[in-house]
Amino acid sequence: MPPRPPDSQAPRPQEGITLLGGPQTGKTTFLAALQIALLHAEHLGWSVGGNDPASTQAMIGFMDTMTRLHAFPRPTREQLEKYKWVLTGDTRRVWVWDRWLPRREDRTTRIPLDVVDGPGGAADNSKGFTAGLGQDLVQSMASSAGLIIFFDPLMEVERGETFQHLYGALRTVRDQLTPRGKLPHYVAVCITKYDAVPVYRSAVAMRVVEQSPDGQRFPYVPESDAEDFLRALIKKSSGDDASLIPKMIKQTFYKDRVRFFVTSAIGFYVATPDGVFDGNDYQNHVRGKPDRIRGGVYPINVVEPVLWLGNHVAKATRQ
Amino acid sequence: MIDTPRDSGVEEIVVGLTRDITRLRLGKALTVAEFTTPGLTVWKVRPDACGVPRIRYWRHEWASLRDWDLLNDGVLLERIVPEDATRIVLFRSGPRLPLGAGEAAERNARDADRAFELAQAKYPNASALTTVNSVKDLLGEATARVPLPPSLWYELVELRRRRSGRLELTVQQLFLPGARRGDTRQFTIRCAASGPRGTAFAVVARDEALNFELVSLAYARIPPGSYDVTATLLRPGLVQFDGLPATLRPDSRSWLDIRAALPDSLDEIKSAHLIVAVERFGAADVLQERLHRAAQLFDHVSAAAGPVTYSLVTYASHSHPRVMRDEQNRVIRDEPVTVHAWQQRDTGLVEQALRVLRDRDPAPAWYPRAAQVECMLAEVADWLGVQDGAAARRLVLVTIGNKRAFPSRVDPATGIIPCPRHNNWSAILKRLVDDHGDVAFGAIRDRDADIVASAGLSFEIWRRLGANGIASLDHFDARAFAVGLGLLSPATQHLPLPLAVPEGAG
Repeated sequence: MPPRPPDSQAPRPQEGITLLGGPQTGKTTFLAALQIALLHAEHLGWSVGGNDPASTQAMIGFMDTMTRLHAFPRPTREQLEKYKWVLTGDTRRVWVWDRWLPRREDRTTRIPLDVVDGPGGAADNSKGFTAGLGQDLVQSMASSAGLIIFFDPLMEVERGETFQHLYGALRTVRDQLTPRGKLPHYVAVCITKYDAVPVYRSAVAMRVVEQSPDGQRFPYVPESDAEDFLRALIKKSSGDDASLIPKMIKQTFYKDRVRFFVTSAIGFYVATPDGVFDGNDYQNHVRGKPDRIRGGVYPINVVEPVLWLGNHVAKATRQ
Repeated sequence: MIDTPRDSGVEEIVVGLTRDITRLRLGKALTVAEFTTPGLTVWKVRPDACGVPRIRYWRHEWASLRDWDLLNDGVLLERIVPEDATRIVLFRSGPRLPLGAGEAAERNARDADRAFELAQAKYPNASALTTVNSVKDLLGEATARVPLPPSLWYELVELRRRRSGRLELTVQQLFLPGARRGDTRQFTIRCAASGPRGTAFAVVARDEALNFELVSLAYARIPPGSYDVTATLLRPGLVQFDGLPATLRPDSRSWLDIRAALPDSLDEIKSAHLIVAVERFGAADVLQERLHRAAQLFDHVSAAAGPVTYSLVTYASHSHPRVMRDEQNRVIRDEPVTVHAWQQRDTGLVEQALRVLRDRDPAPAWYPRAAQVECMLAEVADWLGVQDGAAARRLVLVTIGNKRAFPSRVDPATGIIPCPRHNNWSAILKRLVDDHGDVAFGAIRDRDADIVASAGLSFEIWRRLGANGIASLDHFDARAFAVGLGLLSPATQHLPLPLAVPEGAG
């Protein structure tokens, strides 16, 4: 059992979730796919809505871009985008005390989801974190209760800069909040772009792929194998520091507050809406100018990290 | 010309002469004695071995037939003596002598009348006719109306290429025995490159014993190609050919000259089916170049007049989503593989399709990394499968484009999305080769550098599509390319005679 974080000593994060990752690691697409993922995962009983007009408009825009235009949302540039969304769960009947008497009441679970999406360049070590976007990002991270850290295997193989984009920001937040301890955040480490051909083939080669028994039978990597998969992918990095990423995460956060997910924001291609996964034809990301989404959007492991973080963030906020 | 409106007897005269000439057997002659004011003309009409009534004549002035200013009866009758007394016709012809014509003319006219009477007395069974028309005109018309003799066929000399390539003489039947003026015959010939002396049209007469006589020899410099020709019998010995792009002129060469110019054999191509597939998306100027090269290839191959049929296919790229919308939210479909012309005997429809395509914008390229090459191959294979007789022709597929094919399944090497129909270009190519055996593949890529790239594994399809010939838009020698694909002979061979085209073949 890992040691509980010394809540009394650590500064209490306020609320919300911040996304952390390098440029083009799929942060905005991940967010945009969340509402589609929740629609597909109807059985979970959760939906997401906007908490202010701008956030609602952003959701509508994301949906239109991905489903009608078959395009990817425009990457965040020049500023931190703050979305005030709310996850709404099923209504459930609970007992409450009213004037010393128990009474049944319908209650709907609502988890505020304040998400900060910054440009990948905001986490660039070379630009520092004492001013500008870097400073904004660090402040957002410091005030968030949850972090989603994005690891893009394709970008890592191509450029090998993930560590550089994580280390500076995390070090700065840590020094600000807990110079001698670990950060209290809940962290979902998302290995993105699982739908990409080399990533999926790597998972198949590692024998960590399972297939959902129903619906469109999309293959997925169980959470229990996700961290091992990350380590395997890190070995393919073109950078020298990628192997430090798991160590840095372990050193920065409490182990029981970190979970790993192998995610795909757009999912795999199926030929028809009721079609099933075809191992010969699953490529959904179409490279071009601009890149396009070939078929429908079927996110994989997008809801799971958000719900997990959302629950913990809600609890942290209530404390 | 005969003045028929003013002389109602002319038609009867001509019919009678025609009948008399027609009845002549080979070697026999009809004698016609014409008594006119200027003198006596004796005509001999004798059909030759070609069934052509040959006319010879001898003209005698009255002065030469007089002794002591009197007509010498004996000399006169000696001049008109026929080969056979039953084959002589007497004419008192020419216009009535005008008043004041002069004493000499009047004397000549009197001698003409006198001689006509003497001849009638000598040959009482002969036709004795009076007409204002000249016998020359009457004979000209009558000999034109004479039908071809029995057991005599008119034929056009052609060449036929045996399987070994050896050339042999053959004939195209033109007219049967008894054929008359105005009879026609339609047939198809193929003219190869003929050289400076042109293509000779030799009409021969053939009898039952297969003896041939040259009737006429004419020539013209005719561009190589197939022609639907109409032969018309103008008169025995004179055949007119319509449907050729040049006018025939009398040929001064002898038949031996023609024979001497004949090559022993002809390196001719096999009958082939040339299919040109053009990638129809990309930059507009490049697309124009592709279409231009296609037209050049069709031109060169059709000019050589090989037994080739022509097809034109275009293909573009697949759109990646099932439903693509433009900025106005309109649904847009990708341009499918299109067969514009299929197995045409000439390039007319193909050239027309190319003209239309030149005026069109390039197809939209929703996914410019690859082209529907695999679907084009599948379409071609399907069309070949349903076309009767297609297998009998050698298949030549020329692909003009630059993009790779869509893979049939996820391709980790290129990352190109699979073909929505999961067509497998490699399997289809193999099927084409298996089904059609002697298949030639030619490719025309955009740039020279693309040809170099074709050697790479990722462009294997272009290496296969250009297995028998690969060129670029930059450097394209249509003739050399066609030779490489077996569509043209390596060396230009001149043929002085047209090539036979069997009926129903193309």
